[in-house]
Amino acid sequence: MIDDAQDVVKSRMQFAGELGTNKQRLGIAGWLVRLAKEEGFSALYRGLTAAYGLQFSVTATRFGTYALAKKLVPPEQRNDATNFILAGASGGTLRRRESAVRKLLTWSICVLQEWGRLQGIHSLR
Amino acid sequence: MEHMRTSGMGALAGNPFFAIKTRMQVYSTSESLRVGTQHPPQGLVRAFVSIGKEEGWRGYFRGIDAFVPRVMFYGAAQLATYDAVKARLTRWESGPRILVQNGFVQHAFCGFVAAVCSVTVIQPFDFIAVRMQNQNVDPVTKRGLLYSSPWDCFKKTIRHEGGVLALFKGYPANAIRFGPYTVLIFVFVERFRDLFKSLG
Repeated sequence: MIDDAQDVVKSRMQFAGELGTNKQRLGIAGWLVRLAKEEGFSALYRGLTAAYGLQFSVTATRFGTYALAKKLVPPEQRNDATNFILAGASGGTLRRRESAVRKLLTWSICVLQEWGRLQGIHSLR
Repeated sequence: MEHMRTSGMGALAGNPFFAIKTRMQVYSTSESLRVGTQHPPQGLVRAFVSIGKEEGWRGYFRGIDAFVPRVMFYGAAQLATYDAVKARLTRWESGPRILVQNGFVQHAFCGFVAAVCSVTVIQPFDFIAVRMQNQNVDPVTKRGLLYSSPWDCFKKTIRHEGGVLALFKGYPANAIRFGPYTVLIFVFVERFRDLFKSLG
């Protein structure tokens, strides 16, 4: 949630002066203040639904690909990381993410993903 | 590598959401803050449907050639930098103990360096993806009205907006966003790793 304001600012900055149009030159703080003042506080959360959609679809597809990989990789070739992630992914991850503790779960899933990535790389060495 | 393949697949599915997110974020009710092509807000589902209606199935994949590398390089750069910096620090005999020791400060520091490097790597891809996806499309030819391809976007931006540095517009905001996030992830990852080691 806190992330999203910076993301809005990022997008605005990227389009400032697009091919010579509106050359708004503001820094991060400048954007935040002007956005809140001129468009209202809620402007800092524009695109939040899509941001969740993005997180959700990317994560779901990644888990889906993991599950597919599980089918293709024989058990003796798997490492702890794949097993661990698969265990988490198979049991109702999608349903649970819709609940009130969505933020917390999104967070922990991200952490686990990163952990899995690290493990994956280390086991390749 | 496993994670590059899976995140590539993830990016494939996430592409339309990324486009919708950008369009929502760029829309402004204030004249002076209006930048880029404006798309009136219409909610996630409607936006999704209207892309298909107006741009055809290709609309869902606009800018994907920049978005997929963005997602893939992000993870790769992050991990590579983290590992490299950590290995260096561990071998640094005369260095300050707090950095050489395997602990919170070391993890946070390496995470910080990893964040800066990975954001630097993905920023141009992020920029091109965002610009490709936010433009309006010719209703007949279904081609972008501003940029015909990522390469075209790259060239036009450099020509009209003052060189390569233009690709790094929005960089500080992105760095501030990903910085603390990456640091925390690696701190947690290290803790998790210890935990699982102790559990056997």
